[in-house]
Amino acid sequence: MRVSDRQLQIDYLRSMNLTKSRLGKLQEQVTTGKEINRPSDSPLGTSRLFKLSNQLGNITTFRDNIERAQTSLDMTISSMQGFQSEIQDVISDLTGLRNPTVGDNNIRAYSDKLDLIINQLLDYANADVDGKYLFGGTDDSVKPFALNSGGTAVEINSQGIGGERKIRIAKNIDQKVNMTGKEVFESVWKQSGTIDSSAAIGSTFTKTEKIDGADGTEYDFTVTYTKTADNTYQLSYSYDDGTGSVALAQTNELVFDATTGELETVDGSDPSDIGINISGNKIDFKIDVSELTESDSTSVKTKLNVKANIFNTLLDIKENLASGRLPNDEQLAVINGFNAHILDEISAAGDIGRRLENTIQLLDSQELELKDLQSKERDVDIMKAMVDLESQQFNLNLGYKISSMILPKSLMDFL
Amino acid sequence: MGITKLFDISRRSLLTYQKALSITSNNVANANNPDYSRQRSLFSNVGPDYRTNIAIGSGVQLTDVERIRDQILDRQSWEYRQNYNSAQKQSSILANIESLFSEPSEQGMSALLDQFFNSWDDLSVDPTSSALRSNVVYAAENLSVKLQNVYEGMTTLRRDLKKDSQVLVGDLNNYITELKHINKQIYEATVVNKGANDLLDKRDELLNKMSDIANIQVNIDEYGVANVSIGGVFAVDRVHSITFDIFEESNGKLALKTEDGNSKVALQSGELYGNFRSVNEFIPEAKEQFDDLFNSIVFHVNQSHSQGYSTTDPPVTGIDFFEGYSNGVLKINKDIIDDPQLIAVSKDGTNGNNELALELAKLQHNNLLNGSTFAENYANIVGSLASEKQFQDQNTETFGLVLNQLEQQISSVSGVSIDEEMIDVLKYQRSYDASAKLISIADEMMKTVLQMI
Repeated sequence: MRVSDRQLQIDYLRSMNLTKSRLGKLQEQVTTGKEINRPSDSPLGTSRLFKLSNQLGNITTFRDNIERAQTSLDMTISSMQGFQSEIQDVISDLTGLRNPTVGDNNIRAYSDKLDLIINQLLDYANADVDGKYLFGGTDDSVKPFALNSGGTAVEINSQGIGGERKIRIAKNIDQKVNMTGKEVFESVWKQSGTIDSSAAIGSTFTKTEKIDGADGTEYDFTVTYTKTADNTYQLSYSYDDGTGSVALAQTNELVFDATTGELETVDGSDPSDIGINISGNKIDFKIDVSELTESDSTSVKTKLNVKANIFNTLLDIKENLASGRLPNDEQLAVINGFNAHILDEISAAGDIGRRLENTIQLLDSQELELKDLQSKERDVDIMKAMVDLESQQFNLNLGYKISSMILPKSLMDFL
Repeated sequence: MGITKLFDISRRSLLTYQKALSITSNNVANANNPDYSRQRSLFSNVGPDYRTNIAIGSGVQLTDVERIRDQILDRQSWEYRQNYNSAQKQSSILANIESLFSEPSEQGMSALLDQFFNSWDDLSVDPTSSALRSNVVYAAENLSVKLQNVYEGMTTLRRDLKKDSQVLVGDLNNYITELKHINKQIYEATVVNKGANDLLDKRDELLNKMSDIANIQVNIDEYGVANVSIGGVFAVDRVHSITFDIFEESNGKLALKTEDGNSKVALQSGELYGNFRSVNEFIPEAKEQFDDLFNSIVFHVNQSHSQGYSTTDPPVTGIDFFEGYSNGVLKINKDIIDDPQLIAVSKDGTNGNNELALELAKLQHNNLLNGSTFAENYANIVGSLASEKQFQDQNTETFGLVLNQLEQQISSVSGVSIDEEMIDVLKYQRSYDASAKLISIADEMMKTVLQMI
């Protein structure tokens, strides 16, 4: 093959350009420490980096969320423990007062002490972090519990204290991080399960539970479900203390979604608890229907957490003590029942705390793995890059040397 | 044969080798001219005088100067020049576009999208926090600014590419005009059998330049005249030429047409095609994908947000978080910027309810556009441009390699070898010396004859 002078130049320039281009790429990788500096370095790798970065960002957010939620959860547990400790003392004191040797004056004097204890309990129930009431549900800017003007009953924030606050701890997992005032301190009768959507209009079924008044009187409380139209039920109520059934004037209407069967409205508004308050009988509790759905059969289960409102029961006992009357067995049973209930709630809060702690550990471990993957995808093998860089630099120097020896030479140099 | 014929043969020989040396000198002088084709002296012997008894030749003469060129290689070279320049230009423009995204980095839109949705997650933990509310606005503003930068960057790039294309078309028109003149001169020189080698070199240089810009089709006729069409539209012969111009069509796409606008060039390669493809495909498609993405984000965020309640007193509902999106401008509700308490995270109007914040944070994981998440849609925009750039990089390398080999072959055939030329110089010099010596001998012989008188 004939070789012209320009051919040598073309070859030389191409080799030099190729080496310099590789050298430039390696220098960039070494100085940035990254193998992917722009999407076209690896479109697939960039896409993977986006995903990894998104996952890492989520993990950081979830961990921050958990750490912030842990603070208020710890305070919640602490308040519940303080409350339970006071209740434990009250049980012990009231049991002591029933000793026949305890005098009337001591009984009356304990009324004052119980008054202080009730205020202390209200403080625990109204505990706050940064002005946000821990047991206020989602309406946490309003004090959840307050004595009425006469000091005879505890009033609850009318907006409700049952709102659950959730945070995201994983892509598809919301974790409840508060203990609501409703579940901890209120007497709630939960109705859950299914109501037969094919039942005839006018058909009824009932549910009965033993409910206490704050004065310790036990009632058989009955709720009657009457189907009034398709997907619509009327709830009516009656109570019986053994002397005869008394019907309440109060009724409520439940409407279910015709397609999904989910509870759509209570009395025409978004679903909420139904409050039962019979002041003459000191009955005060809530009916929770949020877990009722309409389906192809009727299977409604009920569960009562405590038989009476703890604050009102204690207030009634206080009033009785002031008159020298000891609490009756049913009232003591209510306090004992509440003590067991709040211990369950402390345990439930502890479970949430442990779950959050475990999630943080899981997130830490996921973060390590993801960072490792991110590094493998993005970062350059610095040793390999340095060796390649040296090699390319050597090639370039060699090219310069050879070209300086060959390019200017021709037959002319020897004539 | 007389002694004087010796003088004639020697004189012709001297002149012939002098010319041959000139041709060699011309080759040496153009050794580094990439557009030059080496020339070769073609000799022939001068026939004998048949009137004499013994036919003896009359010496040597220069019959032609041959231009060494392989037209097959030229045609292949033009084709690969077009492809190479098209790929290189597209690669360069795509590099420019991808630099606008600042990916992969914390300043990239992917990270800013994540930050925006994660800011709702942060807010869900403490819905009344002013700092976290401001953080949501800040994250949205960051996203908006980045989007605007990318969008404006693409708009500026489009404008620059249009200007660059106009310059290229201006060059193309100049080459066409110049080629017409060269064609004419080649024709005239060829018809009267004058050498047109240097004109042919000039012609090929112009064809090289034109093939850098657009896909040209060349037909060389028997006179060496180049008849050229561009993308199926006649451009130049030795008599006629037309000029081209860039037209912006109603859909915003650029088109190369004859100046009167009647004939549209089907561009398929060349630098101009690289520009046009970027202006007509890459940029508008990326913008359209951004429009889809951010219209969807605005729709879904507003759809959720408007259902919630603010933490103002009294709580307000029905507020949109974004005012809207149009042409790369993502507008955040000005009222929310002024008062972040208007951000709605509560579904029931209570301050501690965070259901809406959780719902908004989860939007990032839902397949809300084209069966994918927002982040995946964005990754697709970046990924498709990056893949295209990678493809054009590979094309640049492949076409460059072939083009380099073709240039090597062209250089091998047409390039000047100094060694070869120096050998020719020596050869012709020796022949010149010998002819001069012959004259001296003839002179001696003539003197001898004259002394006899």
